[in-house]
Amino acid sequence: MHPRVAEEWSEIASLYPGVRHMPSPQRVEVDMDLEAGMYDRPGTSVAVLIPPGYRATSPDGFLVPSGLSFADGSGLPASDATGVGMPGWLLVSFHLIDESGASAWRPAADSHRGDNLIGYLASIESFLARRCN
Amino acid sequence: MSMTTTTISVTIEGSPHSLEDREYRGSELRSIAGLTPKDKLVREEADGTETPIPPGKKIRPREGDNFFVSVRFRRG
Repeated sequence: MHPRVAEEWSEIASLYPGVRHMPSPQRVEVDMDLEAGMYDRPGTSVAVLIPPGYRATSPDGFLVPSGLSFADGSGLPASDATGVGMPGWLLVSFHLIDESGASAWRPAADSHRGDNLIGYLASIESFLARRCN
Repeated sequence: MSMTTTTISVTIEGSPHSLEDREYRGSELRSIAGLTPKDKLVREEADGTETPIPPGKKIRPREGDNFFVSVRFRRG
């Protein structure tokens, strides 16, 4: 496991009891509830690929299983993830930014403060709850 | 014998709140401020970083803490 992920693992596991760490490509997978009536299912798996330079380097996006769609049948703003080694998944390019559009990823030396996987996952949950807006 | 409860002052989403000096779950802080579980609540740190406070996380607020909903993401 990536050492920076290992630092955060116990806290991630306490907040996402079903969290999985998967190799090739190295990623963290969690289960998230979805807003009632917004999607075609009540929950989904979400995967975050861990970049080699994590935590200095932000995750570059997240993945959801192919087939996940909005309740009206329209697709998520995502692309096929086969190119990143995740066939059967969709990739959503997703970054933390400031008002000017610049990267706002600001990790801290303390793994429990600043930007980390828990905050990134929280941003994904907020994004999905806003119908990907 | 009377008991005194120590309180601290914090700000959540721009509104002042007086809290007991104890541990809170993120879900409690959201409830106090009328926020939803899916709102990304963070604590502003002295160095300007934002520490995420998910609903299930326990923290002990400090006097003067500033909590707010962080929306700073985009696709692409």
